[in-house]
Amino acid sequence: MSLRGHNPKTRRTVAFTTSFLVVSAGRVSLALPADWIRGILTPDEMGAHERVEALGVIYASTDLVGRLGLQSTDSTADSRTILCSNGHQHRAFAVEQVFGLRDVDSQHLLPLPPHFSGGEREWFQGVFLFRETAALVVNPHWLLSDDRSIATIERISERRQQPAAIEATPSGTPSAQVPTLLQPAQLEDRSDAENTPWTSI
Amino acid sequence: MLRTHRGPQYKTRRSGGLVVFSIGGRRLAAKTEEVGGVAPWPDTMPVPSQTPFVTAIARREKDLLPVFDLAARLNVAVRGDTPLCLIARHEHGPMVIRIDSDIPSLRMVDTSAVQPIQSEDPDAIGVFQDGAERIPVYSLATLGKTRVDPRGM
Repeated sequence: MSLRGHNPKTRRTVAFTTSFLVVSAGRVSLALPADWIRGILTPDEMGAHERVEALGVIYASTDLVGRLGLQSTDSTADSRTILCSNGHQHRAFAVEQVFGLRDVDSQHLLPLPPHFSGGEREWFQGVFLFRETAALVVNPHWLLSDDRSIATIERISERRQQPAAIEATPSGTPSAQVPTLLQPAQLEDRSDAENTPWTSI
Repeated sequence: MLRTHRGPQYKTRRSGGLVVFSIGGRRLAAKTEEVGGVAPWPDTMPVPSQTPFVTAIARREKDLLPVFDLAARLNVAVRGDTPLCLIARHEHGPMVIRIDSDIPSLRMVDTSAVQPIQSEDPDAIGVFQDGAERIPVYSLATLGKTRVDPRGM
């Protein structure tokens, strides 16, 4: 630093990148902050259980597609269950497909347009270009929040209280064993959010 | 130079442009200054949303623009195999509207030709006579600002 102080011309903008796990749910591309992801299960590993244990932590299954008011689709071989946690809240979400990890530069992270003025401003932190369209960045704090705080268009009139405790397993026996996390699926690591050229109009 | 005095017989005539387009076969109009252009309909992705009629996002080159479903708002279905994209200059920023494949047309009309309209639709700011047809004029700049019953007009 010279006696003249900092020269604005030499000031640099610090850019940072964020890793996201991009998935498909209800035919919508969603981006989940990678550091909140604890594991990914195949349909065989998850089975019909409503909770799964991984490293001594139990993840309760939550209907992400339903919370967002999206149309759910049948489970396929590409379906996966994503385990998310912030250290004290743990949830598992079913998705149609996992596209892989994406490192997104901060300058490519766009805010949700101000035309969206409802609850979606809490559900999503932003958006970035992904394949032919975009991926919505899910707010992880909302993602792990209690279902009772969520209201979608379709569910405003159907909202019902859900117990905060972990739901019983299908067998109805509280002490029934839950599946233990196996090896997580290998993820494809890509360094560029735009991996395919956008179609010319 | 002698200055011409403009007597009381002189009237200032103001005219403006209107873009006439159709949605579901219904003809609508908007001020030209509120229309950013017309293009082929781009790729879109639905967005879970509680904002009435703003339910998707469209990608135009490297821009992501919100989609206002004016057809749903009017309770009609867009017609044609190749729908068009009307780019609206909304006060919150550009927004796109899916319209029929009929190419929009431009009308130059006197501002007095746009008459006030008695309508339950708060976005309809007037109506003008085009031959035998009365065409409502919509404000694209404030479209959706006033909440309308999502069940339709």
